[in-house]
Amino acid sequence: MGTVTYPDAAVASYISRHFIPVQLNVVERPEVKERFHAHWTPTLILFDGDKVEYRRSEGYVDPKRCLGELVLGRFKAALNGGRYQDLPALAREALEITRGDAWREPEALYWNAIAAYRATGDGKQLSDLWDIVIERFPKSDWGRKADI
Amino acid sequence: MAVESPISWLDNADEAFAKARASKKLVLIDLFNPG
Repeated sequence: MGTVTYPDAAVASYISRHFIPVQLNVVERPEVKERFHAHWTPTLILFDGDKVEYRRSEGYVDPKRCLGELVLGRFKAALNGGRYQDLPALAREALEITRGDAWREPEALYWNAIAAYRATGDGKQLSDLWDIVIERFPKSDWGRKADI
Repeated sequence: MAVESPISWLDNADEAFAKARASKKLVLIDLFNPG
């Protein structure tokens, strides 16, 4: 992470704009593993200021996948915080960032449907957008979640 | 060779939570093993 992902200009810029970043060395400070229930490194965790956790990633992620983790965490924080007006823009951002990421793109598509539903209350829109997840990523976990 | 990070990392989570409350940003915690 320290040699490839964090020096990446897009990652550094995104983190600086949207996050308060903290690095904790688990060798020098082993107690942080217990505090954050993290027993493998690298572990990335996204919280709000009240220490509510929104996303966690264990293991190395390259710049593109790191950006995907960050934007999806921001989306979840807005959703869980009831900031529905922020969801459409965050969903668009997530779709753009995760395009071609086989793991995160279906998740972004799934949440894009939720964003539209929260903005409009239109169940058909939710269903239509979930159909895209099912059609494009039928075997993904998110495709199966949408297929209800 | 070490690569200098362009990110201004804190090393205190509680300070980060306080800053996040004030700024409405999220906290990103990276637990890492330098080895």
